[in-house]
Amino acid sequence: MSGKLSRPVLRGGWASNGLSLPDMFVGGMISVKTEPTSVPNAEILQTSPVYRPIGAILTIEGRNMHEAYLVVTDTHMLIGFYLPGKSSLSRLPASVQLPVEENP
Amino acid sequence: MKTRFTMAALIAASILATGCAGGPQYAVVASSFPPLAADEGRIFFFRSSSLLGVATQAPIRLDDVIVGASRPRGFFYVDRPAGSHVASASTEIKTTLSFTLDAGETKYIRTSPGFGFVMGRIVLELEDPQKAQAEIKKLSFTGSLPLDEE
Repeated sequence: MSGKLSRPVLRGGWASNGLSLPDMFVGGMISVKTEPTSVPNAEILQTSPVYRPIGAILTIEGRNMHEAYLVVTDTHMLIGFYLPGKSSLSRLPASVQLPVEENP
Repeated sequence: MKTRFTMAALIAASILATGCAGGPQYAVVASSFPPLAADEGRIFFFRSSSLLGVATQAPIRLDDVIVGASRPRGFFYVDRPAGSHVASASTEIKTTLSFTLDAGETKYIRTSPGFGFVMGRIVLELEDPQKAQAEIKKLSFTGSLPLDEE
């Protein structure tokens, strides 16, 4: 699935380490701790690893609301969001470089 | 003037009273909630708002099956198999929320009234568990309790 991506919404816990997710509408930065996760869609696995937020709820809001995981390349490029409730990928129009904070 | 104000206040109070959920508080029913089956998760639906959009109430569907209703100051829960699910609510438009549920996991979905062209709509959103648990304790249970085994 591809299409216009609307505002990502992050609720719940915040972490000072892990991937930083840019708020693409406000221009600020949001930190979210994540862990790699497996998904049933083989096509997505071949694209990039999928990261599930820990201690936080990440959703993307378009015409409807979807729980979302991050799809990030090995070079820390965010290419889109995996929607586990739909088992589908919502690609960003353009990849976004994510700053990564190393664990202390 | 005073009479009109009193009448308006009484009407507003009655609307609020009939619109809000009635039922036992969380503390009364929580001990009756059965443990989760090994391959299932639990989903709480709750609505904290009271005055705002009190007239906007709608059935809540989970995977196209009605499981309860969005009522001010009410909550209910359902247990479902682990996997992908879609919650929805329909007024003038249909709003949906897709999510995944792990075995043993409990998710919390906030339902709240939103603006629409003709009538309000119900907004569905996943909520942080800690925040949701704190709010649900102040709400009334609108679901069904399991029957006692004889």
